[in-house]
Amino acid sequence: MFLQNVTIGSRLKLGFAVVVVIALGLGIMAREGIRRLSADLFFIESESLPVTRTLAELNYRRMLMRANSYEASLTEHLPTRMDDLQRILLRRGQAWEETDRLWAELVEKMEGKGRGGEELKRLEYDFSAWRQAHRELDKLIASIVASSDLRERELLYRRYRQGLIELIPLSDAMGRRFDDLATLVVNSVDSAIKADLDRAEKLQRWSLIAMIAGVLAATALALMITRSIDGPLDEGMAVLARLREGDLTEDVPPSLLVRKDEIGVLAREIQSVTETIRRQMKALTEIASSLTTLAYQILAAVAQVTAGAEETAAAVAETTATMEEVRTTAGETNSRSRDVAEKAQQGLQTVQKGWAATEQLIRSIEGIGVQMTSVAETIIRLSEQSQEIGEITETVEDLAEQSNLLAVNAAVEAAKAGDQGKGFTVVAQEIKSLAEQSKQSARQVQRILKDIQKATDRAVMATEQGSKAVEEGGREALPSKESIQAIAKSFSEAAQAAAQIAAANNELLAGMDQVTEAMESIKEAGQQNLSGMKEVESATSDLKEMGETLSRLIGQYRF
Amino acid sequence: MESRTRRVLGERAQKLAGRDARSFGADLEVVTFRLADERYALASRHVGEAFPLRGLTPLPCTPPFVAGIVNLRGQILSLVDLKVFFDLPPRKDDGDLMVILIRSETMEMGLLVDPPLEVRRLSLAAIHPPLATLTGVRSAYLHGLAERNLIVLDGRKILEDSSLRVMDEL
Repeated sequence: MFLQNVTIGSRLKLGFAVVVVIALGLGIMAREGIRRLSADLFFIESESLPVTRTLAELNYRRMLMRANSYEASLTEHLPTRMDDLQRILLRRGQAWEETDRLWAELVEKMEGKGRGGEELKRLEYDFSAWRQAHRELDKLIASIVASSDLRERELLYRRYRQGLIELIPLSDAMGRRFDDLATLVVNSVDSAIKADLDRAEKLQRWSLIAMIAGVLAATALALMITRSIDGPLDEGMAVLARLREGDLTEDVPPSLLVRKDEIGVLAREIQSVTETIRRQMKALTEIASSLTTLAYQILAAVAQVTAGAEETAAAVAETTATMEEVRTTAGETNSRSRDVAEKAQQGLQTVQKGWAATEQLIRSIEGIGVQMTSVAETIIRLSEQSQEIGEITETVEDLAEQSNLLAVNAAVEAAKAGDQGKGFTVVAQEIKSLAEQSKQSARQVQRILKDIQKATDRAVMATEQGSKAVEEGGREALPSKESIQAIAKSFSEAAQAAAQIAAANNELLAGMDQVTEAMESIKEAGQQNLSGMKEVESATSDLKEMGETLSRLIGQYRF
Repeated sequence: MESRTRRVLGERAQKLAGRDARSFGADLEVVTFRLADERYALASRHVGEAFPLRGLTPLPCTPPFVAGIVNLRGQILSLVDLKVFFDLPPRKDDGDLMVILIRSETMEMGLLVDPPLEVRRLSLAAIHPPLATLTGVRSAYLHGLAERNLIVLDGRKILEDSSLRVMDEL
C-alpha cells in the first residue's frame, strides 16, 4: 500500500487539504451567488421601489389636483365661494410644492437610466403640459377671487370649466404614462428576481453535489488513513502488552520495522527498548545475585567486626583495669620515692653520724688489735693442752680395748670352767661393759677434743685474720672518710633522683588519667561501633531482602 | 652411797647368774666378731683365747688365705685370713685386726677377724638352719643364722676341714 511509506502527518495533511479544497469551492460558489442576490436586492430596494413609490405619489397628486380642480368649479353658485376658493387656492399651493418636489425626485432617480430615461423624457412632456394647464387654472382661480364683477366672474368660471375639460385628457395621458412606467419598473424587478431565483436554485444544486462529493471523499480518505494507522498500531500494542506482562522473548514483527512512517519509527524504538530492557534485565539479574552475595558477605564481615569490637571492648576493659593497677603502682611509687627522699635525708644525717663513729672505730680497732694478740696466744696454749688431753684419751681407749679383750678371754675361760666359772662370767661381763663405757667416754672426749682442736684452729686462723683485719681496718679506716663523703654525696643525689622520680611519676599519673580518658573514649567509640554495626547488620539484612525481592521481581520477566 | 652401789651391782650379778643358770642347757655361748660388714659368731667352746694382732710374719709359698704366723708367748701359731677364705672384700684400714685362737684335740689355728669382739649367749632355738640360697665355701662351715643376720659358724668343721691344711711340701 502506497500509504505505508507516507508519514501519518502527511496523510492527515493530504486528507485535510482535500476537505479544505472542497469547502473552499463550496464557499466561493455560495459567496458569489449571495453577492449577486444581494446586489439585485439592493438595486430593487434603492432604485426600483422608490421610483415606483414616487410614481404612485405623483399619481395620487394628479388625482388630488383633479378633484381639487373639480371642487373649485362647483363653487360658482355657493355663497361661501370666496372663502372656499381661497382655501382651495391655499391647499393647491401647498400641493404644488409637494408635487414639484416629488417630480424633481423622480427626475433625479430616473435620469440617464436606460429605458427609464427614455420613458422619463416622454413623461416630462406630458407632465409639463399637465402642469401648465394647472397653472392656467390657478391663475383663473386667483382672477375669480380677485374679480368683483359678476359677469367677469361668470366668464372666468366658463373659461375655468373650459380649462378643466381640456385638462382631463392631459391628466389621463399622464396617468397612463405613470402606469406604463410603473409596469416597466415592476417588470424589470420581476425579471431580476426570476434570474436570482434561477441562480439560487443552481447554486443550491451545485453546492449539494459538492457537499456530497466532499463528504464522500473525506470519509474515504479518513477510512484509508485510519486503517493504515490502526492495524500496525494494534500489532505494536500487542508487543507492548507482552512487554507489560514481562514477556521480553518476542521481537517486534519485521513488517513493522521496515516501515518508513512514524509507526516504523515507533516499532524500531520499541524494539530497541525491548533489547535494552533485556540487556538491563540480564545485568539486573547478575546485580541481584551479586547483591544478595554481597549482603551475605557484608553480614559475615559485620559479624566479624562485631566480634572484633566485642574483643576490643574486652581488651579496653582489661587495659583500663591494667591502667588502674599502673596508677595504683604509680601512686605507691610516688609515696615510695618520697620515702626514699626522706630516707636519703636521714641517711645523710646517719652518714654524718657514721663519720664520727668511724673516728671512734679507728681508736677501738687499735684496742682490739692489742686484745687479739693476747687472745691468739691464749688459744694457742689451749690447743697445745687439748692435744695433750688427746694423747691421754688415746691411752684410755687403748686400755679400754685391752680390758674388753681381757673380758672376752675371761668369758671364754669361764665357759671352759663350766658351772664353776659362771660367776666369773658375770664379772667378765661387767668388766666388758665397763671397758665399753670407758671406750665410749674416751671416744666422746676425743670427739670433743677434735671439735676443740678444729675450733682452736679456726680461732687461731680467725685471730690471725683478725689481727690482719685490725691492721687493715686501721689502714682502711682513713680512706673510709672519703667513702663516707662519697656516700653522703650519693645520698643527696639519691634524694634528688627520688624527687625527679616523684615528678616523673606525677607526669605519669597525669598521662595515665589521659590514657584512661582515651580508653573511655575508645570504649564509647567501641560501643557506638557496636551499635552502628548492629544497624549496619539490620540494614544489610534489609539489603539482602531487597536483593531477594529484586531477584523475585526479575524472575517475573522472561527474556 | 658406795654400799648402795655395791648392793645394786650384787643384786644385778645374782639376777644375771640366775637367769643364765636357768637357761643353761638350751643356750650356746658364742664369741661374736666381724668380717668386713658381716657379723659372725663362733661357739666359745672352740675358742682358746683372743688377742690383738702383733708382729705378723707372712709365709711365702702358701695359699692366699694363709696370712702368716705369729709368736704367741713363745708358741708359733698359723693364721688364716677368713675374709680371703670366704671371698669377702678386705677392710679399708688393715690395722686393729684381732686374732681368735681356736683349737681342738688335734688342731690349733688363729683366725684373723675384725673387731669388736663380744661374748654372747644364744638360745639354740633361735638359731635357724642355713638358707638354701647360701652357696660357696661359707656354706660348708655354717651352723645357722641367728637374729639380726648373725652368721653362726661351726668351729669344728673349720678345724677339721682338710682344705685348710697346708702341705709343707713345695
